[in-house]
Amino acid sequence: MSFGALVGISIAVLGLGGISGFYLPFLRLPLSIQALGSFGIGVAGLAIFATGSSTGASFTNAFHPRFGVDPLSGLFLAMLSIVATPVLIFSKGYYDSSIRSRAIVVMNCAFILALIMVICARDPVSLLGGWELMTVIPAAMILVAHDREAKARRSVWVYLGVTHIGGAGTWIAILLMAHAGAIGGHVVMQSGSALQIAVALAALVGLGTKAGLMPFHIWLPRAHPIAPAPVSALMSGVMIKISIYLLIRILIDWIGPLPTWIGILVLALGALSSVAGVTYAIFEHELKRLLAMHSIENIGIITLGIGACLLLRSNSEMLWASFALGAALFHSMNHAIFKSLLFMGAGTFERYIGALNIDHLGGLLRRLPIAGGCFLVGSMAIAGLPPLNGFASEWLTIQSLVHLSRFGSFIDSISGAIALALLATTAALAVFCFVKVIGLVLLGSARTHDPPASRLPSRSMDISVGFLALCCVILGAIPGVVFTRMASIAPWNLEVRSRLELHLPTTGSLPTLWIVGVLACLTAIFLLLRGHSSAELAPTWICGQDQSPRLRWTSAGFSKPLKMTLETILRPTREIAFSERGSITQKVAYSGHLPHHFETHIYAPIHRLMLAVANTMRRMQSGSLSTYVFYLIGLVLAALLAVHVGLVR
Amino acid sequence: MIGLAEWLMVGFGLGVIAVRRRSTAVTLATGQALALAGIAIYQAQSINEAIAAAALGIRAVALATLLVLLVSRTRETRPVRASVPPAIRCGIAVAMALLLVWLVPIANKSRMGITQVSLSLVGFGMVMAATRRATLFQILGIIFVENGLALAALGLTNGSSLIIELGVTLDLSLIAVVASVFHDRIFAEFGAGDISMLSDLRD
Repeated sequence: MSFGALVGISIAVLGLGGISGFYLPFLRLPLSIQALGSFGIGVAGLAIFATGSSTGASFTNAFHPRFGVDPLSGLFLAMLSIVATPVLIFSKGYYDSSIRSRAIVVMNCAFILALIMVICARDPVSLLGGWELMTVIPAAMILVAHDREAKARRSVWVYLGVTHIGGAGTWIAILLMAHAGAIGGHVVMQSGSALQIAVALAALVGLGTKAGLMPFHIWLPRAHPIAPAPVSALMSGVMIKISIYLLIRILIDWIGPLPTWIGILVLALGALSSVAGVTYAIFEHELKRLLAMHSIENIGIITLGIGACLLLRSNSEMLWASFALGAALFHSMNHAIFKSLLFMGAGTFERYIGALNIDHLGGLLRRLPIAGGCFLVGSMAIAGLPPLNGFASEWLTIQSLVHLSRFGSFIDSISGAIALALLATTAALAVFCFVKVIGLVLLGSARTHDPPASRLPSRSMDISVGFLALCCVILGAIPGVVFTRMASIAPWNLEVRSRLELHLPTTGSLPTLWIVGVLACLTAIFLLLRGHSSAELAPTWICGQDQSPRLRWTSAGFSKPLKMTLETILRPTREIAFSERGSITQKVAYSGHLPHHFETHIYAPIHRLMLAVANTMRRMQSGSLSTYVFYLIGLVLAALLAVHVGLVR
Repeated sequence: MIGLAEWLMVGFGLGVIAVRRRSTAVTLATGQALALAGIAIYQAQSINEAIAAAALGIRAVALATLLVLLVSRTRETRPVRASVPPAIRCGIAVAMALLLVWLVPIANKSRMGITQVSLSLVGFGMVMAATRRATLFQILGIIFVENGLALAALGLTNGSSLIIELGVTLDLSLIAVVASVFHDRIFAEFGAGDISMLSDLRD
């Protein structure tokens, strides 16, 4: 069977699973069929990526629907499958069989098909059609899940508004390229030409908005947390990567070498997103919102890799440009895996405890050993700790930036060095953030009573997170297998020799297998030495007070030292309210708020300006039909006058 | 060269702008539509063109029937007062027609007269919609614009096309029916077909 046939059959099976969700009263079978289809798509995508072959149509600038898969599409199909298959299996235990759940499951299938459509599209119509579906379907799923919540409706409104206004950039970029015949790289644009710059900037705004790149990110921390956990996993794991896929297609694959300043701009946006994303994540106290902020951070890291690739390419360092591209792709893959793992873990916790406020969680590693253990692996991976996959891809991104400083021009070197420093800061802050998450969510003692056994995660939920945790370990142990192939995807066709570990010229290598081996040996020795002994539990001395969960570490308390350090930049606000009766304090209420500067200094003024303009324009709406006809007459006469005096030909 | 029928169309147009009673306006507008059909029949040189011209005539009769029905269904105690006096309305309409004739480039000089009449009718329609408050006159404004465009098509192409005329007839009839329904609803709601009453519906 050819790869193309396998893709086609798998899509049909996936669609069948979606349709059966309409008619069958239970969800397990439809979800199993969908998972089978998703798995088949992954196998086909991985095979195409690994063999470097292509199937189906090639890219065209004509407006006729065409579909095909090349190695880059194959990689993203595999990425989609690695996330979607466990998500669908997870959904079997997560959703009940209510009408609402069935509707979400059916739409989930449509969402996956829309993602596939964008990846496989080979013409502007299919690409933009899939793009719009990919935007609208998650909004519908969130609305179905929270149909009576005003906050959710507002979040969806912000999501649709921002992604559509920003998404206009995607339309402009694609249509400009189609007009110039540049889709598929058939026509190479002149470097630095107005058309090339327009396409690049439009793509950065349009795709950056959908990817959650700062400062276009404001929809992301609102929309991702309110979606059901499997949807959040798909949105954060795959949907925002589709923007990365198109960004790579446009900036690296299609429009030819770009001027240096575009590369520096991409690098700057990546650095801003990574540092600011992780900083704001630290001060989040709701687990899914915290994870959403980390998506912004990781998109920043991926963008740093793309920026390094653009700059190294403009300096004709093609080998290192390939490595930088490989690093960006590898981090995309890794982020898809550990972020979907973390969102599904958060979904498991939410289902079990009934809340996601970090201060209400605690001791989950003991209470939910499989889900908690896998969440621990995901947390370590996203924090960039060895020997997991996040460490490998962040190490590769750091190497790319080091070599940008080494090989680039003066400006490029300075940019690379600053980006490198900011990436190192990001890595340190990510560790800090996940120490908080692991300490408060997984470790310690429970802050709530044990919920009933019916809320325990099902086997399918445990299998899903277990599979993704295993992927984190495997990709961390033998990253070279996929990284070398990813580096070879670059359009300048540079073959990189395949290895298990990471071998880079001039900077030696990262012996990942050795690291895994040493850590495994140390762990085994520790366990052997520890034997069956365990520390005796003793009550904690807390000045004679009753032990209460309210006296334990809180998320705000853990992050307060950093907040005080960054007070000048972050400008946090807090309110402490005392209620007294007879000069005796009865109650102290504390509330803290951390304003997001992009919202207060960029979006809020724009919002106010738009409302003011709308208010002014409203005066033109007299409600009189005659006045409107006069407007029309004025418009016609103005147009005719413009033609008459030669303003318009 | 502008013929008698074209002058009649302009005259009927100005008449509709000036008159106060709806029934008189419908009569004059029907006269204009029939004059248009007459021009089409006069220019017809083949069976197809003759059928197309007949379609214009049927359109005129159908619209007249519809408008008469509308007037009879919505009897008003007294006519809706226009916001602009008749003489000023006519003045604005003539100024608008002259402005359009001055602004619109005319490629075919031999057909200049027909084009000028067409532009005048378009201008009259727009001015009527803008200066009259009675909803029926809004419908007549649309019909005027359509008549102007149909005359331009006749003049510029040496005859009418069956497909185009049938399409235009259907199109205009649909617009007129929808507008009539609106008129009917407005009358039922407010007791008069006066668009100024719709201003209160804003927000």
